[in-house]
Amino acid sequence: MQGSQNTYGVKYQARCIAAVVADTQRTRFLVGTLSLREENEIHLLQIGDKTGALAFDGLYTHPSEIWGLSACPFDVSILSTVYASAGEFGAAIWKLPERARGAANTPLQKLASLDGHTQRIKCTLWFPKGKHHQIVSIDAENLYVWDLDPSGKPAKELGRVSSGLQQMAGGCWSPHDVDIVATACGTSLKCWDLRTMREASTVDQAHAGQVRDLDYNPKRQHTIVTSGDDSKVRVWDLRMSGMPLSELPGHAHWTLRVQYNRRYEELILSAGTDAMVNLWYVPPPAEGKSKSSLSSPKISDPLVRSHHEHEDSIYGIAWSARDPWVFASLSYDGNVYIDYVTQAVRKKLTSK
Amino acid sequence: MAEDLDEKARRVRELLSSFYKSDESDSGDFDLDAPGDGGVSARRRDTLLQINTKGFEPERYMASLVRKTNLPTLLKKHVEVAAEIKNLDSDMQMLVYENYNKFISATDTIKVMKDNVAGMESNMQQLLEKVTAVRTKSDNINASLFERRGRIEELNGTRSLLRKVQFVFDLPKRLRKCLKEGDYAQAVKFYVGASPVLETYGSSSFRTCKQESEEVIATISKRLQAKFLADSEPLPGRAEAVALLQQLKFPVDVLMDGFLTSNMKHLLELQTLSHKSKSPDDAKKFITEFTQTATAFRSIFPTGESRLNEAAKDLLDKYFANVNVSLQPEAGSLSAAELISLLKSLSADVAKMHEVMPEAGFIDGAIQAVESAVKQHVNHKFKVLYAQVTGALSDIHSPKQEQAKDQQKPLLLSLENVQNLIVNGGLEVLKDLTQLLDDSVDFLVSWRDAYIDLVQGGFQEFFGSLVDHFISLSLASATQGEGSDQRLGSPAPGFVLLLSRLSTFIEQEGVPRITEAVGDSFIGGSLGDRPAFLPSEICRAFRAAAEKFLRQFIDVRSRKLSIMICKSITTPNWLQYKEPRDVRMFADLLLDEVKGMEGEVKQVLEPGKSHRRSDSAGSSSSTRSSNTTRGDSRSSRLNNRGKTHLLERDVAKLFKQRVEIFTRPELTQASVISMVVKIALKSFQEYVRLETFSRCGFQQIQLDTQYLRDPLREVVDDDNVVDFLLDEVCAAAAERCTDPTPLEQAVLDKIVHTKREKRLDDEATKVFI
Repeated sequence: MQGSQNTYGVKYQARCIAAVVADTQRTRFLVGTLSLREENEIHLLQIGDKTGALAFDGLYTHPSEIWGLSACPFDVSILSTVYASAGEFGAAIWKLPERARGAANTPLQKLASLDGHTQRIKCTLWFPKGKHHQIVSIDAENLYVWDLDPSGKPAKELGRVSSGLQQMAGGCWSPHDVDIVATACGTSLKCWDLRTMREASTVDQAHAGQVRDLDYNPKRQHTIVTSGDDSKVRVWDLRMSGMPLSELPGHAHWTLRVQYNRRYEELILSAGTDAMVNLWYVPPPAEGKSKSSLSSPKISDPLVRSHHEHEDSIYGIAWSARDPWVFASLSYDGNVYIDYVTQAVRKKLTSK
Repeated sequence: MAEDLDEKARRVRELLSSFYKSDESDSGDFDLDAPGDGGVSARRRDTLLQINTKGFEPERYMASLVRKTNLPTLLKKHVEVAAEIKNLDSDMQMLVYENYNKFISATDTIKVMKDNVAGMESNMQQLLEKVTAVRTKSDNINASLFERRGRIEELNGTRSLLRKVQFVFDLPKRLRKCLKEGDYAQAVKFYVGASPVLETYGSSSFRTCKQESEEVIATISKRLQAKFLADSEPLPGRAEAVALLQQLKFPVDVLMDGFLTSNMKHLLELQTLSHKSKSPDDAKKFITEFTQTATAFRSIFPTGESRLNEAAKDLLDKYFANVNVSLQPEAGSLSAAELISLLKSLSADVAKMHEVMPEAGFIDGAIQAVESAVKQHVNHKFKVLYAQVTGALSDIHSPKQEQAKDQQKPLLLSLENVQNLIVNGGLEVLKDLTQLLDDSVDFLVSWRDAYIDLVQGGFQEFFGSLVDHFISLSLASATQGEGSDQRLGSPAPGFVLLLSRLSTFIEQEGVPRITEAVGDSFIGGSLGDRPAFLPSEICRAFRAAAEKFLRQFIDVRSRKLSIMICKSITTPNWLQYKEPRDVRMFADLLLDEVKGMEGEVKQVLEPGKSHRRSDSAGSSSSTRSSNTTRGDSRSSRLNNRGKTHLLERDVAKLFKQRVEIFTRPELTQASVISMVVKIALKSFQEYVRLETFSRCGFQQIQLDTQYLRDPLREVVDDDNVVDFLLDEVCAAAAERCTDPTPLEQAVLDKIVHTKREKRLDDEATKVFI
């Protein structure tokens, strides 16, 4: 499986890759390009069931540079993008049109746009549980909650909250409590309660530099992993914000992306500007003795795999929605690599 | 004849045996054969052979003989039988004859016995009569004496009682007499002898007598006490007095206590005095006094050994408390020499005292005292050293403003200072402690190993706590460095670097040197499983710490640079940027910052191996020209837009030397500086990638990078990396530019040149002022 082709190059520079979460039958990824002067595209990639090879499955044109991309969790054909080009910016919901054979470049159908942002938008977040028409968009200073009307009317703004002076870089909607959205806010981590539109909890100085990315532990309500410009990856318990539960060395330069495996909370994937993709194995904290396990000297190296075939900074990583052992990474030069969790780690996880 | 005799004897034996045995065998035969008719017929057949058996039937024998045999044989048989009969007759005769003799002698003997017994009967009768007579007489006497015996015994008792009473009545008189003569021993003896009677009858008949004698005895005991207390009295006299007092049931313990307390008090006074004055004379006086007291006590109270021991122990405790006080330095540290002299005098003293009183456990106490003193000494030494080092460090950590300005190279000086402190201080402590070992104070010998362990453990702990202290310092400085310290050349990062350097120094030089010194004099030890001093473990800790500090320094420094770059990139609106006229301010600030860092790094670190500035200095023009060609190629590439440009970029990358950006930092000037610069430039590139530029914006970036290029190449160990990264920044800007038309090389050079001149001027004036 590993021997077959596991790389794909989109012709342009690219920053975004997202797994098609709604499609649990196939491992599919969406890649959005970032080309200032050419027409931008969204590539639909699929890992062949039999071949295991990464293959091109569809190409759609997108009007401007794609800075953010996320797939709708309940509809295979819906996605949202964050775009900007030469002073203009925005976020929109798109539908992949029916595949027309022969037509190489099919334009996306725009379902709705999220207008009203005054700053460059960083990301959009889909409602984490089931089919729901709420979506959150985050720009450098504000967080907006939108209600999408499936009938095609423009999205309605439900509320917004401002983070103040700190620049927001990303966010994650809690899969455990749908009223909470966590955001990377300057050097700290802030959680917002969508009912009151207030700050719910915060971790100050989560990183020495800008916090770049964060992700909720899929199994534990209060556990969040963050990454930042100080190159570290840290795991936090929101109830104990003084000290990280664990700290991983991260990367040699900025650590831009970090993501939990959806099925195995022990696996954390991170990528950074040092062109490396690192897979970490972090055993969950044993109840009551997390301290001792941290301080015990016999802790094995948490880094279980390091993928170093990329030649440029990596801005996108994604776990496969179908196969928990597969992940994709996208470097700035447009190369997508597929990599796999090693057998040793798989054995360790499944034998439990 | 001989044959005849033999033959005869054999025959006789046979006969005898046949007489006794044939019967049995025959009956056996018979028994066996009896049941069957065959048996009877068989016997009949064999009758001829059965001549010698019991059941021999002559009739049948004859008949069968006559019937079976012929005449000559019969005749022959006749002759045989006749001969046999004759033989048998003679044999019988002989047997009878022999036995007869024996019988006659037996009869004789019996006759003699009979005669003897007949005489005894009368004798026995006589004896019986006499015994009976004696018995009757004795009975008579007993009966007659019985009446008088009780009376005599009674009289006897009365007589002894009377004698006693007489004695008791005489007692006061006698005692008085003894008192007059001073013969206390006699008096006590009398009194003790009479005391049971006085006890029993003292309340009734002998009241006056008892009172009188008690009065006398009281005087005697008073006199005796006085005698005992009098120091002038010779020791035997005093001892006798005590013995007498004891006999009088006087509480001797009280006496003992009194004696001891008074003496001990005196000794203690002497002791404290001697410790205060610290003069050997006083100490000697104490010892002699002690010896005297002990001997006196011994001779006076021969039974009070345990009391003496107790008291001595008490004294000893106080003594050692004093010793400990004098061993503990009140202010400042006690040098080993002083300690040794103290210990030596102590050892001599204690040896003397031990001679006097071996049971009192002076040696144990002394060993304990010495042990604790030495332990304290060692601990104190290390504590002082630790305090010195940490003190020096905290001085560096928070320097006084003026001081920092006065000294040209504050970090360098303090580094050397601390290095010296650690190594020399460590060696000095070691020397000091070695002295203690070499001077072999008696008590140390017994726990030499423990002492060695102690010293080794001291070093282990010292270094361990030093590492901890370093780490805590680095953490403190890190948090401090986050917010408040924005000044250029602020002490925090430099201090961290200093810590890193120090850790490395300790790992590579300090610990080996001290290990060597420890190995020289403190070999052995290790009462536990492993030696108390583990240089490898310490080295590992320091190495890890050094790496951590270095990383921290690099992090802090590069973050500062990154923040500057970040501000310079994110603040302007690049899409509406005006034509670039000059290099922006931030470039100068960046260079200043790098320079400040360089200053720190150069003070603290070694120059490092690969400094290629010297060889590249001559050929700077040539590299410049290569730059321009690269720039040209880039511009042409960028002009030639199209889908091929990425491919082209990749190809260009292939031909470029692939530069390892993120290497492991070494503790050298060049390596550290390059690392910081590399990280900063990489951040530069990343920030640029997040923006979108207009043509002028791009040109501004181009200008900035061009300006930064040469100064940065100066400080970095590998020019290629700077070139590569700055090119990358430029390329990133070009990629993110709507119209990437580069500035003309001439304009670029000119602006950069004038700017550089101006900066040089500024610097010159700055120095001048």
